Amino acid sequence: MIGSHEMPAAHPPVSPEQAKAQDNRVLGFWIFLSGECAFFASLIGTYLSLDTHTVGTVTLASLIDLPLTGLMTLSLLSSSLTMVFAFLAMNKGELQAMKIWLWVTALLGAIFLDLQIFEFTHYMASGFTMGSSASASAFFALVGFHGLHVAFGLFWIISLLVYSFKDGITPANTSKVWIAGLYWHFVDVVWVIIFTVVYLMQKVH
Amino acid sequence: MAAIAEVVGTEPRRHSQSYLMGWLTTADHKRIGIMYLLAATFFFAVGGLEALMIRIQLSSPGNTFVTPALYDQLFTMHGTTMIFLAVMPLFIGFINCIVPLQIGARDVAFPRLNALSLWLFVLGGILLNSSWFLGGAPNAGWFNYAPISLTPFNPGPGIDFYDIGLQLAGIGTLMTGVNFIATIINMRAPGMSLMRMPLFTWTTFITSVLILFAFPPFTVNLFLLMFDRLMGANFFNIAKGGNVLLWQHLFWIFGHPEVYILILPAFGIISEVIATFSRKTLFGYDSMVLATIAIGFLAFTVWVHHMFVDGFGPYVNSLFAITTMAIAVPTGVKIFNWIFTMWGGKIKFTTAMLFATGFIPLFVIGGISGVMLAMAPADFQYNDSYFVVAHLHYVLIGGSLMGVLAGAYYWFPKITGRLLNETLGKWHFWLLMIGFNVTFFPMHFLGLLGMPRRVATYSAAMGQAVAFWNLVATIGAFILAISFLFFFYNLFKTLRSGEQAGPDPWDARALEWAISSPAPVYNFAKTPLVRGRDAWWVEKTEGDGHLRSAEPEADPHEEHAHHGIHMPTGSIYPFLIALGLMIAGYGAIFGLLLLVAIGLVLAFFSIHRMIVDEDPGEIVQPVGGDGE
Amino acid sequence: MTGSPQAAERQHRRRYWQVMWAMVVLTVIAFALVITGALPGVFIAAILLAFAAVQVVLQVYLFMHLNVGRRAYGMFFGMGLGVAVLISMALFVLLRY
Repeated sequence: MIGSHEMPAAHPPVSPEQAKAQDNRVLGFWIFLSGECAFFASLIGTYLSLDTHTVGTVTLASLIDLPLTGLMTLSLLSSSLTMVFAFLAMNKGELQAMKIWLWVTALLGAIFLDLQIFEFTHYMASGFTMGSSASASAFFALVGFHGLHVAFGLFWIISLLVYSFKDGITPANTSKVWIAGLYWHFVDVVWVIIFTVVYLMQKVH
Repeated sequence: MAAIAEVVGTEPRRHSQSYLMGWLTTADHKRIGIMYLLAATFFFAVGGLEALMIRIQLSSPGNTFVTPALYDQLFTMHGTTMIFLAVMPLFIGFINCIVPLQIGARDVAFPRLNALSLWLFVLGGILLNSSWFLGGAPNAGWFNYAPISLTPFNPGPGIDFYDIGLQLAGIGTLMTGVNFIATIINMRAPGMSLMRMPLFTWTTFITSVLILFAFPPFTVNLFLLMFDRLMGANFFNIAKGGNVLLWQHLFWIFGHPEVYILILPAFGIISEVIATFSRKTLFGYDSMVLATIAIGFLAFTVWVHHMFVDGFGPYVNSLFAITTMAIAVPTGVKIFNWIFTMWGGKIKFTTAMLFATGFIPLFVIGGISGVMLAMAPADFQYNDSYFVVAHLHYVLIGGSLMGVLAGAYYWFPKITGRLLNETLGKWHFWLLMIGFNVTFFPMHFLGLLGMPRRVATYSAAMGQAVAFWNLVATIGAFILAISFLFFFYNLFKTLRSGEQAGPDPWDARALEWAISSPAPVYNFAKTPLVRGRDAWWVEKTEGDGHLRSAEPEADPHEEHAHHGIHMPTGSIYPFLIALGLMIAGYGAIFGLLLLVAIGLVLAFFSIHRMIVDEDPGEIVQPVGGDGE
Repeated sequence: MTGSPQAAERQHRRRYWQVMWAMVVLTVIAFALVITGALPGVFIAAILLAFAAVQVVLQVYLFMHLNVGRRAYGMFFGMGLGVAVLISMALFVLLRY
């Protein structure tokens, strides 16, 4: 089943069809995430093959502000933890606590996005734009697609929060929160790669 | 569609729904499969007409039947349509119709996602083909190399249609991949262990894995091209530090697995058909499964053989030449297994079996020219010549399309309940065999004589032989086209007045033949218990000719002795997501931001509904009792 | 898991905090190494990659619960990571050098 001792035992009885549907959902989502690995790998490969191609324009290394990156990392990393807490609360059937943790997760995600928008505007104002060099194009494609994933995660979590808990915690919405959580953690995993390969490596000489 | 719907009246229509809404909202894998097959057949006909125009243009040296500009669009759209909108969706159609039946499931793992896949494919295909009327079709070849696909060299909207049309269809295909992996892992009936699965299910599984890992690089590539063309990015713009080889790499990291996505399901179909009509179990089942897995793995290790002339040097080229040649080993295992399956069997040459046996020599020819192309030094001679055209048509028509047609004659009764006419089918087969070989075998010679591909015409100075073999190829193409007239007439005639098939017209082996034709909406009245490989054959020969039920006997004293069958219900939102993305696509192509916004709002509203809605399902009462 | 559900719950919570702190510490060390430039570049790069790998494993195993999930999850995700390494390294090696 969803596969863990974390899963609650106190739910109302689940029909075999419902149980199958939830099981499918989690399995299907892991499969989808495997495909997402190939998606981000293509973007990372693109970035790695082009990141030195600045043709004399502004370089990424001259713009990166590591404290800002650190702050972004912290907000996304902690949102992963709050997502786990939301899930723990859901397992105990504590609807309110779960909702609060989900809102905190969304808030931390929003902070991350806000910082990223700030970062991008700053870069673009400094002449580092999609059109300035292949290096910049590759940076914006990789980091931008990650940002879009965070934005979609927000849309998803908030959609669930606002519409999916009218009947409290049920087996159906449990698996929905579970896969939204998987997605959120995965986006965080991708960020770990990005801040290492893109941000930190640029500053290593 | 109406004619087919009369035959396949499988889904209990709710009274509140109109006929059209029934199809637009359906989540039934059989209906979705039928729509895949219909749309793909339409695109196949379009791609075929484009091919005929190409052949008319090339029938004589210096011909002016079409302009060079139009010729570029024709060969680009021919390739793109045949690969993305015809052959692959034809396979996906069969996969949808048959795989859930073969594993004893009531539907796929994600019925609504399945509908989303379908509509993304259909609307993406329509968007791509609408380019003919909206400023010119794409013209940079099906693999659309940069820099010829960039704005300075290609200012018209054609490439944008290619980009966004394939993006939509590609996302749909990716969802199909996810769906069928989950279906095959999770939805198998009790007793259907992995090593009891029919070969078609196995190849579907591996194909889905290839889709899962091959399509994301393609998606990325299309995004990069879109950014370059529409947002001024520089991924492929050398002046700003871009690299045109990046497109080639990402394209072929996708493109080589893609050609195995186009052949593995054919391997599966051939395995089913040959075993059925030889009345023997498949020879070397285990090695077949292993070979399929090996081909799937090697698919990701060979892509640079499409790029031998790019100048990576002897070490890189040798590495990829070796991995490429290694693929011949598992493929050879399969060929021998099919031959050994027929060896000593009671062979019955139905039309389906003719196509399956015809597949073997044609695919071997394509495979051998493939190994020739895999030798990097020799490839410098063949590269971009008609030799390559001959090779790829031998594997795609002699391989994939023969598989599709074997599947069509084999499963048509299961899908519609009626048997295709065998006489017309044999005309189809023999005309196709003659037409195909007359068209494409001379192309080997043309390539060796130095005729380049993708050039609108050739000079009479290239010699008598070039002109002669081109004329022969054109004549062959018309014979090939005529063979398909027999097929289409056969489809039409059969749907109107074909012979009723009954559940098991071929005395076949897999589970889909245990239930009525067409299958009832719930597929199996009771989930079957699978007791061996060739599950239905086992019941016919060792059992009592009925499926065993895996469900516990209903207790007659219980209040609701029969609860009915829980089935997923349809939804309009998959269609609306695809429609929204299509609208946004048109907006992006023509730079109309308002249209993009409208499309995205529609798509995201529908995605939101898909996220929060829970499919309540509906209870269907089975008609019979025991799954027959 | 032995003991009362509450004890198990507390134990889980504590473990998640530990994982979180481990990741924060790894991140801080990584940033500090880069900012101070305390080691030659190659060493720093190697350490950064190793730390990233550890963080990925922690996230995937403990936050995404791969440790208790079905085998198929890990099989597919593992394949995904394998393909990811193949694609990104191939582009890096073949296009950059």
